[in-house]
Amino acid sequence: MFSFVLLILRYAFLALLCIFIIKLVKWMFCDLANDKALLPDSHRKLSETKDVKETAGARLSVVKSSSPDLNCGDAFEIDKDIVLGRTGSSDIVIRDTFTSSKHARVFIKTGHYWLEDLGSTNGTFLNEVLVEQPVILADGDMIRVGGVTFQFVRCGHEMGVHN
Amino acid sequence: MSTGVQYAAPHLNTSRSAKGRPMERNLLFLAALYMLAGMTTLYLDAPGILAYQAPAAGLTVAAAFLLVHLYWKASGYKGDRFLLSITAVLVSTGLVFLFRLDPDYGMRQFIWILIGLGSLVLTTRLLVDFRFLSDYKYIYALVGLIILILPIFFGKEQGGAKSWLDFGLFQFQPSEFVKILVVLFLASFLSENKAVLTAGTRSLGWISLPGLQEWAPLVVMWGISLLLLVFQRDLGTALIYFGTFLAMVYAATARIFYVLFGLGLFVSGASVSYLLFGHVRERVLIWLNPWPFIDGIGYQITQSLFAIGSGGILGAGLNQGYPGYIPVVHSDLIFSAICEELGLLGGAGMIILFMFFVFRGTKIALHARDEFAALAAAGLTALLGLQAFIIIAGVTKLLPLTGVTLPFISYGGSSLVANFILLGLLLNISHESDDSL
Repeated sequence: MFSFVLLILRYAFLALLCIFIIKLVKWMFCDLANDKALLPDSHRKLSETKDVKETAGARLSVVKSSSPDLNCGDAFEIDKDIVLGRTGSSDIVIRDTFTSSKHARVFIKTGHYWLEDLGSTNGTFLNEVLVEQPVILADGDMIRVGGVTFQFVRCGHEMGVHN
Repeated sequence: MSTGVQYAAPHLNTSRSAKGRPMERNLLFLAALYMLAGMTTLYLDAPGILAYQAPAAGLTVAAAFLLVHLYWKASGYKGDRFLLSITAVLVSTGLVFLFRLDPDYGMRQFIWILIGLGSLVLTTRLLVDFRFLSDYKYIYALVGLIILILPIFFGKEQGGAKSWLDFGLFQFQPSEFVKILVVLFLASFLSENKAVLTAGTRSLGWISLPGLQEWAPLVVMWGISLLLLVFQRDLGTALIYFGTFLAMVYAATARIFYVLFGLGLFVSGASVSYLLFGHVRERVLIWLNPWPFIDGIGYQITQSLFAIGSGGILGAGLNQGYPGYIPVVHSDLIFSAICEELGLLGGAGMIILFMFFVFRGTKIALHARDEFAALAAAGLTALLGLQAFIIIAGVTKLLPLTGVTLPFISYGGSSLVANFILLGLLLNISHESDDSL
């Protein structure tokens, strides 16, 4: 009798491990199903914003410059991710002593234009506020890198704001 | 940050409130039952030797886990709902088997588990605002290096690896804690330099490479830690460091080139150390064919294989096998003892639990608020997953056997406390990021 109880206990130990795992799978499955319920919605949102991205362009135009290469009114189209910096391989080359070799970048994600500082020495400023983590750019924002200031212009809005 | 849209929009998903953690409570009760079944079996089987220690320790640990759960419930902590119960089962298995193998180890492990749970609560309390950790990355690199160097001069050799510091009362394995520092350093460094590393500033043929400035600190960090570990002859830990490093670089940049480059470095490093070091050659020799050395250097791995093989599907039953023949079965080779007595079901169960742990960790990384948190979560998860993989693969002879502990199960204070801190950091990241996790 005693050894029988022991035998049962012994396999109860293993059985409880299996029951725990089965329960865990069940709960995790519920958890995932809950996540899925949110998915189609966010999926739709992404594809919508993608359309916006394809129709509207944007550019950076120089409004103030201490660098001889860049003149007021120069404009750079943003059709892909661009890097601003002092080295020649940058997409926008800023020959300015206050600019780091890889200073900042503008990238397109989820239908928005983002500005990110690449660990520059003197910082990147958006409307004279230091950029510490990536921020979304809005039409008309002023971006200052060293002694050069750019205005961010979204072409979809351009008609209303300028001219 | 007064203009533009904030980087992290508040999550909309607050309907499932964070107050109750019923799932965690139910799972913890099951884990407690599991532990008690095991401890009662041990007690009834050999009451003379074990006395009341085993069931009492089992009850205390189960109660301690429930207390942690109640504390989180009361303080409204929103960390992941599954990780604590997964950990509870892993720890319970370890404790039951340690009492079964040697009650002395069991008692000491029992105390370490309580200390570990204490450090878990402290981590989730003091480091909830973990973001400040990213500010001190070079301090980590420095502290990590110093701690790693110490055992070379003052260390004590155990099982071929000179990675222990002896404090008289207890011994301390610094590399267990340095692992966490390394992950924090890498997460902080990579999140800062991610853009440059991804895009690259130089081009080498069709591959664009980042400049020396961004790349050098990483290579130096990696090289020094590997060199140290080779000198300490702690090969398993070196492998874990390197794997975690590659996983994090890949997670940050999504460039397969870095992984291939890293694997190339690894293969060349492995061949060089095979040629240079006798103990590495020995490991490979007994990995490829341990049978001619069954009386000598191959004894450990062959006993481990015998134990796993004799377990069958359901196992011999708790306390019915002969795991005592395996050297260091309480620490690195505990998985073989589990396989012998719980069989394929129990062994696969442990592997499944580790996979769930990694799954939840990956989910936390995907939901994290920003780059540093995501990379830290990915790195900590990779660390634990790789460690479990390397030792399980080692005792089953899939990889050469290297001495690392099986997280949460093996005997070992440093490893247990370090893993509880790792768990706490993961939970903090999920606490911050999302209510629904």
